Amino acid sequence: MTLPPPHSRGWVLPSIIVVLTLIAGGLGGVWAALIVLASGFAGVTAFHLMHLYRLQRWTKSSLEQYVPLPEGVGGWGDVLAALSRREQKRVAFQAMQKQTIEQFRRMAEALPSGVIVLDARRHIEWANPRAQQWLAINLEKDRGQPLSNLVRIPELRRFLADDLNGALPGNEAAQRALVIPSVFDTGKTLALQQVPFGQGGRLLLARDVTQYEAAARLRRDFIASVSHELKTPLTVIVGFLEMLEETPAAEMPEETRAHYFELMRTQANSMQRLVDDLLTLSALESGSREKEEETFAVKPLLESLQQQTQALSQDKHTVTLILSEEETQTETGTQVETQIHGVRDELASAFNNLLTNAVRYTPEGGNIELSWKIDGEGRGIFAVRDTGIGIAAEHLPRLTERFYRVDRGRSRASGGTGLGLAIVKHVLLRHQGELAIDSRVGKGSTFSAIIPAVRVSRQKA
Amino acid sequence: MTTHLSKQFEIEMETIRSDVLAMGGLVEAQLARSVAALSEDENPELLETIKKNEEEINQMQIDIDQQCAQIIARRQPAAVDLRIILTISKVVSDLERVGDEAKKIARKAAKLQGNERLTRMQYYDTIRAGELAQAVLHRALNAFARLDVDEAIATYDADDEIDLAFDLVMRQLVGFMMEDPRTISTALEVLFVAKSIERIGDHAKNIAEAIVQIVMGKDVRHASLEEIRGIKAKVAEGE
Repeated sequence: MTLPPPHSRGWVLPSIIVVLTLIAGGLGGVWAALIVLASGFAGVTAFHLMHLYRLQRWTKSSLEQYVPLPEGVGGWGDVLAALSRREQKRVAFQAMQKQTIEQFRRMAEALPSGVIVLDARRHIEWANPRAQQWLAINLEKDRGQPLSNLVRIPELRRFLADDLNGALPGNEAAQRALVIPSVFDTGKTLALQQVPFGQGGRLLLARDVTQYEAAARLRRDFIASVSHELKTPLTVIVGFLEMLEETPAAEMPEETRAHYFELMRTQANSMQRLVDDLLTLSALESGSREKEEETFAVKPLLESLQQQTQALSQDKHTVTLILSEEETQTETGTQVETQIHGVRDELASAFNNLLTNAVRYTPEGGNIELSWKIDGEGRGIFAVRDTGIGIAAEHLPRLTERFYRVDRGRSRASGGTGLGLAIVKHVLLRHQGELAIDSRVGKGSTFSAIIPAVRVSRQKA
Repeated sequence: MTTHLSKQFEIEMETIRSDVLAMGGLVEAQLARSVAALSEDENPELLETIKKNEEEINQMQIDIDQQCAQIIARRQPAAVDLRIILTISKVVSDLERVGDEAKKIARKAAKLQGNERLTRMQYYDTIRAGELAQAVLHRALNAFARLDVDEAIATYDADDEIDLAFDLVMRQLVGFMMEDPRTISTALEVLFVAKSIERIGDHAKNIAEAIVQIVMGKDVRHASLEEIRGIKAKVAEGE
């Protein structure tokens, strides 16, 4: 539909009135002309007022969505149609803008980092949900509050006092990151960085480095422990060496010298064991030692382990081997042989570690029982049960940590490296298995190595 | 001119509040360090750090008190502002005492480190109470930052929990001492730690009371929890 230019139609009504007045004047004289003119103006006024009223009513409609403008006649029709088109465009534009803003908001929420906007006086202006969660702030309550009033960490206060003015790439203050350890309530360790933002304000970026810090701490502790463990025997050896050097050979009885050498040998052995265990552990961890997996029968392995254990205990303990019935029934001909698929050496050393521990922590005359059975889910369970000193419940979760010791003195005296159970855990992890520990102080402990069902098979012997 | 003055005054009030909270942050850090020392192995720098922070806390107390005096003299604040200024002095002295108690805990912790008579498991509940005290203080200071009466009142319950924990710890320690008299001197050290923790809970509660007073204009220092809730309801109705 093509509309004539708006200004052209506004003149139609007045022109009609003028023409009608002239006709009435010609036909009926002055009075008739005046009456026609007056009623004509009255009609025009009513016409405009009606449109004006409709338009005014429309202005009260919602801004959010498009509400069609009232339709009009003549000049009004043109103006209203034009306004209608403008309104349609405005609403479309507004919707687009809203979508853009919404998208920005979602982006800020999806960011894996926390974002906080502070004004020139370090008051909270805005924070994304992650930042609110990590720093235990609530934007609704805390907008306009200085950040350091709520996150009252002295270092943060100093950090926020850094001047960011002229924070060009070279400015050190802008590059500095602050690590705040375990924020109260949330326990998160956060790394914060700041950049200038808006008028004198700043944008804080927070990253969650809790895991990373925990790992770093573990590494530091490990190195400290290893150094400590190596230093103790080394000090002993160095001490004896000095003594041997300083004492003339003639003044030292032969048996004293032999005794010194024996003590040094013991210490050197324990250092050697430690280094061996460390190497084993690091090989297990890095996964570099790609040993061939094989399928092997369990029974012969257990029998040889039993003999080794008996030898280690020097017959101070009773070591018994318990196998499931089907594995021992030889007469009926239904004997079954169970097999494990895995790295034989690794599993053997893990099982051996459990047995060595049992010997170490069971007083003379106690019983050590190794057993092998298949549970309801088809998993293979290698268990070592002893009647030893047992372990208090609070130590159990930390038992497989490196160098974790329930009793330092006793462990070292019995020649432990503090790495045995860590090795067991790692070997089992490599076989998708797990270590279960059940223990009572004074009663004894049961360590069970659980081998997943897929690695266990049965074969008719 | 007057708008400029009141703007300036607002900034001064805010600075003072922020300073109190900064001091609170230092005290919190001090307490956290002391409580952590209870479950740590030897830490040779512990007492040094504690001493350094203690000095800083004391200096802050003096500074804030001076600021309060100056504001009263120069601005003659009224209504809620005056209440804030007056209570801030009280809050600050409570904070300073919490700092003192934290220092005491750290000293005892240094003695307990490497002590064989009582193991950490035997004073686990004391450590736990220390963590509770940290939480109560944190809550009280949050309530101060937000001038949030509900949060302030919530610290009352938490303080009751600490008092309960203290009774429990005391009974346990008496048990250990009766079982084995050799543990007596160590158990007494732990008891002092527990007492300090209990005191910290009380100071945190004082801070919470100060907040109720700031916001509602009622002195609730000797009121029971029910009475305070009643006052709060009345104030809410009046508004």
